Amino acid sequence: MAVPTAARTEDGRGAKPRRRRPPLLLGGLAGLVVAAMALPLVYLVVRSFEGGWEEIAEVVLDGDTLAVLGRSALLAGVVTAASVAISVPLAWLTGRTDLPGRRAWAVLAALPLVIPSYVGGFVLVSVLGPRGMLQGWLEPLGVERLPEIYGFPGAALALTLFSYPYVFLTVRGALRGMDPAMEEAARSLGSGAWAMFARVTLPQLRPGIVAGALLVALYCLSDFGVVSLLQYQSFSNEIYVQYRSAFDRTPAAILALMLVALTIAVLLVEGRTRGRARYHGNAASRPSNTVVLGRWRLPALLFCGGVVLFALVAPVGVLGFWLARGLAEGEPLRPLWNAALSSVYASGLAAAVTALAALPVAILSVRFRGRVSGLVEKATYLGYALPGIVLALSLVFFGANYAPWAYQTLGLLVFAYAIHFLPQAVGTTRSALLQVRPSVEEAARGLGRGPARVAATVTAPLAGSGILAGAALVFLTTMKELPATLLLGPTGFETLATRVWGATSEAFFARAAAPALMLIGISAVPLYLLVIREQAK
Amino acid sequence: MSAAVRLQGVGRSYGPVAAVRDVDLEVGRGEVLALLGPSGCGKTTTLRLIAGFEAPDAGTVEVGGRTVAGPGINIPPEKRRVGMVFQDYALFPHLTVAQNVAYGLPGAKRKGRVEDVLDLAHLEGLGGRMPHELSGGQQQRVALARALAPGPEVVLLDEPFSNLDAALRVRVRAEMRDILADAGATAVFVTHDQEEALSLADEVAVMMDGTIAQKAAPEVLYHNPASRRVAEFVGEANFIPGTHENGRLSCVLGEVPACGECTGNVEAMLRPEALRLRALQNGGVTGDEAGATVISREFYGHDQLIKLRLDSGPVLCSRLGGGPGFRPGERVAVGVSGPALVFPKP
Repeated sequence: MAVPTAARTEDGRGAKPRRRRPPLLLGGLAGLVVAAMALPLVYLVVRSFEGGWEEIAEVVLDGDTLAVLGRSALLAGVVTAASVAISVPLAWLTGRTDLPGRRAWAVLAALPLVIPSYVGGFVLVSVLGPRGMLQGWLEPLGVERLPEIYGFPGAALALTLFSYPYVFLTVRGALRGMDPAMEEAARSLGSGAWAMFARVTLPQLRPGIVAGALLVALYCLSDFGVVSLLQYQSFSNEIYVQYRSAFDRTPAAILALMLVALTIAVLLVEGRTRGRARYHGNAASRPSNTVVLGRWRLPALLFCGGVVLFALVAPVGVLGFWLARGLAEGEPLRPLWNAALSSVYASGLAAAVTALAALPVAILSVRFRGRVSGLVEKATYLGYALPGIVLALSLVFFGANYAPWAYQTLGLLVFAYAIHFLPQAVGTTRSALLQVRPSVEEAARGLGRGPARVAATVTAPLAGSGILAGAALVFLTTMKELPATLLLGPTGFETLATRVWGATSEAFFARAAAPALMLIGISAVPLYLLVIREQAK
Repeated sequence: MSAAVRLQGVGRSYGPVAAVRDVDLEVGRGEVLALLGPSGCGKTTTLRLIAGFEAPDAGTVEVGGRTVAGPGINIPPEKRRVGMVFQDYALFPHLTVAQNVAYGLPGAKRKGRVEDVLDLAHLEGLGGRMPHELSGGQQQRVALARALAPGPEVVLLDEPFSNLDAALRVRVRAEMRDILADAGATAVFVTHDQEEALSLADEVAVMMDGTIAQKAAPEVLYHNPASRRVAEFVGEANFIPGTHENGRLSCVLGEVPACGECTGNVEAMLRPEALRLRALQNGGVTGDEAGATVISREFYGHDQLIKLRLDSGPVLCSRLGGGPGFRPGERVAVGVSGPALVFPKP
């Protein structure tokens, strides 16, 4: 018997965050985190002004400095554009079409993320550089010289190949979150496949593309390894050279401050591109339609295969080649274990500290929304605006002058890591907490549990995997981190990253291969876990 | 006059599961048809087969006299001249209301037509807003206006009112019927709500287990359901056993006029409003009444449902006006005011 229609209960969407004063302890902890975040930047400003306005004007207006600025902007722009051009078709092909093995392609296309860009840079130099592998093969054919790889072409190529996955992953996420009815509406209104893509799909993907492009642009500005190896005089390279060679270190501080200004400018531009549109991050309720590739199948496969070949297979293959050669020449593997242990130890510490520091900030911004908590959250994103080399430099100055007891200790290094990667942990922790609806917590309170019990029995199990994902991400990026480790590591402290760096900067490719491969292998574990988690959603 | 939409022998399976099988359906021009059925009966799949988001395994689909799907034919959705209103509206969040409505129009005649359609949908002055700046009811009208703008052969609506709360739904329903009538549009809408289907549609097609169980005008469907299952799904129904001979049914409620094909031992359907109740104080029951005790009462304001147990055992349901009713435990005499519909015994 049909029941008369009952009033539909509200489904609890958009539960309002409660506006109330956060507990003192929470506010205090978040305040401490923010103060720690601000320390390097504030000190950098102080240090830059030591020489007064005159010195600042002298450094900033110098023709060389302006050239450096232009080169940095050019590199970031070209690499970002190239990454978008590679990633959008890649994400669409693996997400929306009947491409054979599309799930496998999606994982393979994300994997270059585990290859640190300086490893990629060294592979590039060892293959394409003068007296490199390619020239060795071509020499019998009478090729004496290859096109110059050093400078812009090499740096742009290496950075694109190893940072495009940032865009790929965000675009893929946006594609998954899109309501399939949106595309169907476009089709039923008369748009063919291409028109639909251009007029509806692409605009929907815009936030994803912009978010990924932002990550790539910031990555390019902060990258140190590739530009140093390939001798491209961009900011981070120039800062390092200044710091190492000049007696007066104030110019290095001023250059660093300029780089910070450039990154902040990029962040501001990103904020401007969000128009009036509001995009809903709704999970697709049903699978979207699959586009049949037909005769485009072969070109699509070639495209995916090409990207994976150049960004993943070739680099790992070349490393394997150098490893075999090194072993044949009797390169010892023993010191490697110590370096690997140091890497895992420092990265593990950094992951734990960062995840803990992210908690009060995330709880504050999700559960106690207001102007102050918004500012606190924004302040943590300063980490994005501080490239590793700048952060390291500032802490070196600070440690040497004010905290000699901390200077060149593991503690200061972990502190630097935590500041550098806090935004990543805050981001994942925040979205994990956002998924725990306040009404669920309130239901637990209503059932007679106190706040602490609710946090332990309801919030933690629901948000726990997100918090762990944040820690895994921090672990992954810390493993690959180079400039801060180089500048702040205790004397004699060797990680896989510094070993790779030490060997490659002296062109001992065979010696760099083993730690590089090991680094890739270890960082693949957390990345694998992250990808599995994303696929399970 | 040819039909706006015609389905013949249409089937669609997902692996071993037949979502839709052997569907024949015709929608006349300017007609509003409701596809009514319980969830999972295949009604949304049918809608998507007409729109072209699914391809049939068997049968043909015609839209506006043109075969759009069938053996060897599958015209893509964008070439079918079919408008679609989605359950969640699927408005383009990056476009304004006017841009959403203009989306399906060729450049040349865009401006005037957008304004006409916005007026038609009572959205004057809202063209510059973004979709998220509108209320649920307004968003729904934008979705309808967008679908109507290109002048499609038929507008398909997938559970169009399910995202609105109960109070708003009745109003939006009436608005939508007026808009469709003003536009002279043919429409097919899917719903699981029988009240919605009966009140809004010219014709209702009841779908069960992937096929059309009955298609008829609302009043015919209500009073002459083709099967016991349809009777149960559309409105409320009492079933009592009896014997049927020459238009007369003898059952626990005495001799009752009856219609229906089968004779002999049958099952008879009586709608709740066909049962007449009388308070039993001192007197006994007459020959064409039966004694009963009230079990419960649901009061709706404009009417009320009384559940009662006959002295002989069966439980029945009676619908009365909104006046004073009967309390649980009270004794009543039950009579019949209207013909019963007979079905073969299950």
